[in-house]
Amino acid sequence: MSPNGADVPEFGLSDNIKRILGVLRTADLAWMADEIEQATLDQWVAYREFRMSDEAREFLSVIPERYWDNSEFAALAILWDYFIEANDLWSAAHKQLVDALNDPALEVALELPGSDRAEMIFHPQYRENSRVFRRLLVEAMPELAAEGTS
Amino acid sequence: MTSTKDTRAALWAQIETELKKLAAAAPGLKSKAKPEKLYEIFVLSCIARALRSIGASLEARDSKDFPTSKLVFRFGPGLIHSPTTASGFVHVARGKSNYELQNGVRVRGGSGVLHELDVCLIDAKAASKCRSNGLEPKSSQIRLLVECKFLGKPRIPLELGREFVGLGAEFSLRIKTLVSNRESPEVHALVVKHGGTENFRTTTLIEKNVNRFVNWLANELRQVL
Repeated sequence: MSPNGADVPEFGLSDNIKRILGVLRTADLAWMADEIEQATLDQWVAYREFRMSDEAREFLSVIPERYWDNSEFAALAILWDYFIEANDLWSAAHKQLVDALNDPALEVALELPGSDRAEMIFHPQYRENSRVFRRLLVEAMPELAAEGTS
Repeated sequence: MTSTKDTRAALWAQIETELKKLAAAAPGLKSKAKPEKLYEIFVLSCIARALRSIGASLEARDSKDFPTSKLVFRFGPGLIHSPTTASGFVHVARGKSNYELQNGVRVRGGSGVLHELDVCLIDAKAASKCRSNGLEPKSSQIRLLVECKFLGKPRIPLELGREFVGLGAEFSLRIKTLVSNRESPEVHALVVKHGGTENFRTTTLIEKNVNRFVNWLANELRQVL
């Protein structure tokens, strides 16, 4: 029980988040799983502090509410960043460079130092294959779609 | 009748199924460094767009300064005079002046220490001289400096703001900015107090913010080029 009399829930990952973390770790994406775990812990700490201190409340008021009252949102937002936004960034960068350099044949590639072989970032069909995932994330986070028009 | 709880559970199950498929099709996500690099290249492309909008002409060059139609960016900090570590760049011509829009190149700060700059604009003559003589560019030869932070966490950690302020102190420039897909009022206050600027929430998800960033860059670049 917090000093102001309100119950503060124990920290714990929801089963939904646990399953997602399992998928990521199996797919050799442990760094992303760790980031999600940390984000959900951070939001819980923020929530707890919010309930316990006026100073913390003022400090935390700058955090978008969705991040401290919904750990599942925080987890999904991270999936969006890496599985959707990262691919969008790559596409947008290519398009902006083609336009700015006025060179429709321009290729953009990423290579390791000392290598002359382009790194595969996303498989060629990734954008097409990610459409369902994009739709599901928007359905799970309607706030996200709204953000684009805010 | 299906309850909201059941619908939500079904949605999470679908997300899990699709995630398994996508994780296998995104080798670039095996390392956190790669999405961060994609963000740097995106930001560089916004600067290219801003330069074009103020009448500059742009051309892709390889790391040896030859025109190319394949713009190669490299992971890790690069030395401008080392073709195997340096990225390709965008040659910029505006009026009688020429510049290089570079990614991940190491530049000597005011203290003499080398710093990797995520994105910067260097005087082309100076860059060419460095390439020929095995030297690093100096802070006085830089016209723009942009630090890029692509974050999964909800807020920009304060230490990144402190890091940017330290870097900014090494470069006496009008245009030095911290760009991120996230935001933080604290980091904003810190950066602005120390003569920098920020362009937070610059993400493809919010097109108007990308346009605002490009317009801001165009206005600033008009003043310094």
